[in-house]
Amino acid sequence: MDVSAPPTIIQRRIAIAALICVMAFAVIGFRLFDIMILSGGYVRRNYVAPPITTRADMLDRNGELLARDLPVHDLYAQPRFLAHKRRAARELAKATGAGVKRLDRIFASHHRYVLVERQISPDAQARVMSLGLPGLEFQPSYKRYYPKGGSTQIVLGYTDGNGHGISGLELGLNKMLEGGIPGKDGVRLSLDMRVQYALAQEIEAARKEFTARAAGGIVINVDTGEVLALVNLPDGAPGVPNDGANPYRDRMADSDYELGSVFKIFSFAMALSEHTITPDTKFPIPKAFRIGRYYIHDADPMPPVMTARDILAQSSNVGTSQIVLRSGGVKQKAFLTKLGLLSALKSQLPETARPLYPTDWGQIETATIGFGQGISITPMSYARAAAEVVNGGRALNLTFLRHPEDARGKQLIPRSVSLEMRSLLRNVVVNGTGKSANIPGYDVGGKTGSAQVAGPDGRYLHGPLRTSFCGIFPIDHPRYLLFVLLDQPHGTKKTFGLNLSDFTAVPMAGRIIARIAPLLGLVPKLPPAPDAVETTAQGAQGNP
Amino acid sequence: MARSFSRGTVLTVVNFAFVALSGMVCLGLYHVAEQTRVAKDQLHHINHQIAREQNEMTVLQAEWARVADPARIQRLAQAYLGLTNKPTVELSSLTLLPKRDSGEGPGGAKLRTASARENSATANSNFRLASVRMRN
Repeated sequence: MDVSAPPTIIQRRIAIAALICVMAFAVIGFRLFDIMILSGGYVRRNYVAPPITTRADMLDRNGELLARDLPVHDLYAQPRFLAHKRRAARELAKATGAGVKRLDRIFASHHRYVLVERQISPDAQARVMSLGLPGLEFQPSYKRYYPKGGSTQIVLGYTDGNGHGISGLELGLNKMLEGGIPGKDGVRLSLDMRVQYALAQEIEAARKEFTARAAGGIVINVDTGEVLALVNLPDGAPGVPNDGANPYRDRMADSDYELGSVFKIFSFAMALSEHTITPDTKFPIPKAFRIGRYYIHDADPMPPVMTARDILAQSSNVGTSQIVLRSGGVKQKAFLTKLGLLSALKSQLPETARPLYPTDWGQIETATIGFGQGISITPMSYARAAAEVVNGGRALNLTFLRHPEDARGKQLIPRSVSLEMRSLLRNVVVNGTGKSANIPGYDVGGKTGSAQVAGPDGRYLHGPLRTSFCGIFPIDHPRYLLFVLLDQPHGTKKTFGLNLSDFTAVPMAGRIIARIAPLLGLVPKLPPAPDAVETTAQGAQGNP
Repeated sequence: MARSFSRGTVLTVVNFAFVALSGMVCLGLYHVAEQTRVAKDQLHHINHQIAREQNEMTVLQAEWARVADPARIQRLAQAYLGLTNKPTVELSSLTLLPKRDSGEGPGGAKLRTASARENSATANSNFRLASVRMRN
């Protein structure tokens, strides 16, 4: 074969065809290379931005929305594009609510990219857009929104601008909430908004009626330890007068109060546990009971001799002092320690306070602590300990997470003492100072308290009281405990000018129980009607 | 006949056939790639739309929680309808109601079927009682 001979026509055509094939496959290969290797364009186009919200919802025990992150925008500006910076600052301040002076300052600075306002609403965004200013940029962001607000705000707490909890359950449950997606992830709380609303409304009405400085209330399940409602007033809501009280303070959780006679529950539980008394043990009740150089008086005249049952029902300080002195200070301190009253309460709420009690626990301290003066604890801590007394005498941890199972722990006081205490507390409501809370059908038991208030110099003031009521219902099978507190209420014409607990806190508690008991599924015990089918009101199963 | 299809002619036809096939493959590949791009764009658009709708739903749910707040409803009812909050008395509970077709009344008592026919004696006595009350 002569290799120097020119290619024939066929050879040339084959060469051309081969070249076309090579070019075609080169194009295909290049395209494949483009798709497989240089496919950044597709990746960028299909890039899905991560969810802009990073906190889970908070729901009440029935699924009602309490807190959610909502998408909003942060507004940034590049001042170098603004032709008239002062005018732009004024217009942006008007549209977003930002401070004019701050905008003037940052627009005049050398920064290329400045934050105008965070978390602006869609309305504000529309106003900014209508300005037609150059150099503005909206960055997706989120804002924590509390649709119920009001009475729940203090317990739910707040988040900072970066979405981290800074107070309340937002801080206490921060680990559970962070990273959640709104609408998908939700933390179910123990709060029941129906109960919360009724509690808040009645407490607000009572606070207004008696012009109390502050007020609060808590409802807990004595078996599960769930907090169903927690109200603090004032709560920072617009239009609610503060009267000098801090509106953002969770006074039920982090304020120590001398609670007064409601504390007698523990004195009697201790005395029954120590077998120093029975409900029928009689005590002389002098007008003044002397301990060293101190005298203890009763608020009202009492009979000369009273049984222990009546001492609790009529709330005699003199009688209670004698009862606690039979046990002594050492046993009293040990008993209160066992109930957790001498240490700070632990719950999901980060706000808490250590109790205040005397370091020198002598006879007079034993007596005064017996009727709730000389020791300051938080209302939540009190409610937990009172629940332990009536729930069969077993330890209880309060929780703000939904937990419908029985959570009672070890036995703290004998069950028989717990049963006797139920009977004594029922007697307080039927025959004693708590009559206004005797709601037919629900068998309420409880204890009233009218504590003296210490002034700035540490001496007790004459007149101002801190009134409270601890109610348990139904008392034969306790399920719920209500504790309400009015800080320095004033008497009215209706109460003959009296501001004692019987006239202020107890009627309020009665109204609250009447409203929330049906919501909580408690069936009232109805008296058997003649010619009617006898209905046995079966309350929901409680602890034995 | 066989002479009319020379070796060169066959190669030419085969060449053109392969070239045409290559062209068709190119076109086909381009078409598939283009369809894929369009589909991905649509998918991205739909994903974006879903995300936007979900965002709007979360906002609407929050808005519903606000407008359905009992405090707000009561405030509006008092302001515009003059309704007031009255204490309620619970006479019975839904849990005490008999189940359908169980034949039992509250507490397990037997139910009697009510008669639609008027009992003349009862009706008369009721009428007489009413008359007496009216006279008194």
